[in-house]
Amino acid sequence: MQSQSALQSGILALCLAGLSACGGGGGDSGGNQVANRAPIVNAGTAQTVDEFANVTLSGSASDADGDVLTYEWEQTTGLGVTINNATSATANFDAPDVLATSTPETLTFRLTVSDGTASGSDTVEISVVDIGLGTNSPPTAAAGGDRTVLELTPVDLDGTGSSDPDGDGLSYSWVQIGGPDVALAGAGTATASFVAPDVEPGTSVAFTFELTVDDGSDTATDTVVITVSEALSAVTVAGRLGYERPLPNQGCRGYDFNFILDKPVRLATVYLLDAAGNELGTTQTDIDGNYAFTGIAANTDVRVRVRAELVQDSGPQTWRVYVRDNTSNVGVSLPQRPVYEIEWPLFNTGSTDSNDNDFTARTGWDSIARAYDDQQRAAAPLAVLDSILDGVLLVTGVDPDVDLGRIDAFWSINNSWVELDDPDVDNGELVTAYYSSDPDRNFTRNPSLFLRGDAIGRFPESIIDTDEFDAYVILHEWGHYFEDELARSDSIGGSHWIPGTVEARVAFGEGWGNAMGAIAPGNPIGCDTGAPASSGSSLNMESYNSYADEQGFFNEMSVATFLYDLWDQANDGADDGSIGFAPIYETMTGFQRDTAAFTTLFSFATGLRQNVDPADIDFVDGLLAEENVDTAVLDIWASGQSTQPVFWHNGNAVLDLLPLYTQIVPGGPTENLCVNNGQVIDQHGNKPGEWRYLRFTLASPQSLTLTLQANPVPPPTTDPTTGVRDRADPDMFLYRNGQWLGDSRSPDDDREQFIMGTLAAGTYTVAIQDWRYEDTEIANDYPDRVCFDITLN
Amino acid sequence: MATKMQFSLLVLAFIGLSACGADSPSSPGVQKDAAVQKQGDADDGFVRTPARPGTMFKVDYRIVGTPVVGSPVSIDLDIRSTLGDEPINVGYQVPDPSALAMDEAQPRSLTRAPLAGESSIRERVTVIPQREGRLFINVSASRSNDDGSASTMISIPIHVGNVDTSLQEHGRLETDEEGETTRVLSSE
Repeated sequence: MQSQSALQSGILALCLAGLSACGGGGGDSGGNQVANRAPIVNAGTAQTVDEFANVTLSGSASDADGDVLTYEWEQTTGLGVTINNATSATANFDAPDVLATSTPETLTFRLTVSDGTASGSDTVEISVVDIGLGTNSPPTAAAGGDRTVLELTPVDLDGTGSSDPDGDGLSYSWVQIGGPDVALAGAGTATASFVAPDVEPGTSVAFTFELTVDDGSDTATDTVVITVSEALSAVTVAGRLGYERPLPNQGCRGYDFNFILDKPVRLATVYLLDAAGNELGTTQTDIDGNYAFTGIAANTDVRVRVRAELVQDSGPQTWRVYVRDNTSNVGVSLPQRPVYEIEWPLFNTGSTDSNDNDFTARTGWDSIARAYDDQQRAAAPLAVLDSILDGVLLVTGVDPDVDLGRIDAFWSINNSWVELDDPDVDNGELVTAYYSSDPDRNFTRNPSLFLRGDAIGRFPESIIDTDEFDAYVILHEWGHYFEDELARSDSIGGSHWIPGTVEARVAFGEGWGNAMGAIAPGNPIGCDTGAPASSGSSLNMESYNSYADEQGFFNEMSVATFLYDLWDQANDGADDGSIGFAPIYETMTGFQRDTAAFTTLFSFATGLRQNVDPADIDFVDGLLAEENVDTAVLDIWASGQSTQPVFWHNGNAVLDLLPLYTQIVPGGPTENLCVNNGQVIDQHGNKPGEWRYLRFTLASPQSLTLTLQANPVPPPTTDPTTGVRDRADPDMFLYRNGQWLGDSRSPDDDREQFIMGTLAAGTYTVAIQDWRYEDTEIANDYPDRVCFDITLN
Repeated sequence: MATKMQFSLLVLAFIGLSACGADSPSSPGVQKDAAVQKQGDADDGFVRTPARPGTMFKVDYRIVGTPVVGSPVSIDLDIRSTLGDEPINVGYQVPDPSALAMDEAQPRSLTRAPLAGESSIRERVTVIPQREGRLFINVSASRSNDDGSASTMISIPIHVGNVDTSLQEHGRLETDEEGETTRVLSSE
């Protein structure tokens, strides 16, 4: 290869020559002389040769001036060699020993040729390849990095990272040089192995192994330290359990399943099961849904299963709550029906503690079909349980010694809101969501909630309704349980709807339920959704505004908003304070439970006044005044109540609501008292005016008879279906401190005589009604108002 | 006429029923049973439903005839409120139009007040089933005045063709050695 400088020199020489030829004339001294021209050099062609081969470097050069030339070879790169005949055009050298790891090795030589004045040069590359000759290069041993392993586990010693620069084949030899002896398998191979021995608990032992590699000529060694630690034969399995809870659409028209909260499964019973279903452990989630099982066999397939129950049966505060399927195993009593349990797929415990075994129960909502996959509705029982827990925590927050007893919540995808004459809960037929203390109707106390879960309208006579995420509905019914278990309710139940103008006992019971539905979850908006994503209704405790004249002791929303405003921190109208839940609780479980009167807003308010800070009485009275309760003289009998309500039904003030109690005296004058069907909007027998209350007090035991005699006697009417003549049919129910003592319900027309026998000293109440108002086939022309003379002798 | 004997037997049964209502084990003589209260209601074929606890409206309905695919089916509605003779806004909504069609002539909403002497309004809505199975229509009732607004919406199921009303299995039933049963649901 000619060098650039030589070429340039040649061109320059030719140019100079041209110029000379074109020049003319000039001086005569030297006018014919030509400048010296450098030789043109060629170092020969590149070659590839074997190591140790004798290599000839064949150079050549030409000189335009014909000058005598001298040659010089020199090596410019690569492994150094000795050049023979380096000053000749042809030189040679012996190719060096080349390592397999660097073959081919490139050597570069330069040939410089001089004519004595100028010189030229050229280079040539010689590639030398390894052919396995020459001096051996030692191998490198690599025994792998030090590490820690668990006892009783197989351990591999990996020497495959060893190498030899010559590419020579290697032999391997593993030798233990430290630690208690172990049996090495494959000690003569690149990969040996042994089983980590058992070590003492809480200790670890180091084992050192030396690897020697041999390429046939040379050897190399490396060591590795394996530390064996005690294996965790038992591990901790921990995590968090949650359930999906969708947020309601506006107006509680179902739920928006695009917005789902992952709520913790709080204080529920959790099992850890092995693959065969055997129970490995039991615990409870904490308030954040966390659980932990300790001492669980390592490397075991397990699953987590949560039971829809809250059980605290020891300590100063106790409760038991179960969510059951009323439509399964129907051959046994309701309290023995199956409890729901939700389980998740198997996973392996591994060999170390783990705390990320998190699982969430799904709603089962299919966003494509926009319907539930009923088989996947796993969140529902846990949602029911969690709502009830809000009630439990509300109570346990103010009563350090409370025994909340046991309650079953019955929920099923089969539980329909269906209208049947004889609903059968075994078949999921619920007239509505409700509370019952004796669901089997066998005189056995088993407090129970019944909740709907039918999302498809299973029956043709139904309304699609699901309750599992409606905390308001669940806690409304749980509020009835609260009264039954811890306080007292004299409510006679029956149908009610907003604004809930019902008789005073029902108004307080339902109002209490409404309030609990808002207070316990801390949400003034009560949702009662229907079809899961599209229907329902709501009310807002903060903004509910009934017709002013209709507010009062007979209005469940009056009771509800009064109770809610007592508790809540928000201020609006007369609600400019808060007494918290404690005084409410103390009143309900103390004064209200023991009151001689029926449980009404008056009995509660009278008791509450005794339980609040005196500074709060004005606040309480202000709220009562908003509900048309006269507070100047406030007692359990409503003695000071004079504000008369007005109902929409006929636009008139309702007669026969006040006085709430008529006091009668044994042997005293005859009283005339009227019942009134004038504000009845359905035939459920629990509306204002349909019931009137009597009270009397005995200073000593006395044998008494209470007589009702229609006066004036209402005109007879004829039943439109049967032709039977309808007459007034009064009935009486006797109580003391809310305890039912007896009743008198003869079929006699226009008259009822209640022989009460000998009564102990004390205060008694009597509720009276006209049965004819219960008769749904009553002729329309039966009078709204029927009055009775009352005598007590 | 409902007999008083029936009522007596039922109340003596000590029913702790609280139809979204109370339970008073200490006062069995005044317990109420829904079965008694409903007697006589079925004469007109209306499905009567207890009003929701949070609503001012009560919507009873009656499906006229047997729904079949492709044929209009009418639903009679009896809507009452605690608002007396105030007008009620009534609306209809079909969540799945591929299942249930509503005729163009069918008003989607209307406002009615009870006639003098009446406590409810009666309306008829007509829909056309597009397939067999369980379909449903939403009926809303609302009012808005100076006192505020209130509304409710119920979902009325319409069974078209042979629809299974038997109990649906949910998860699996397990029984332990002591005979206690659990209903096990699986979640992913």
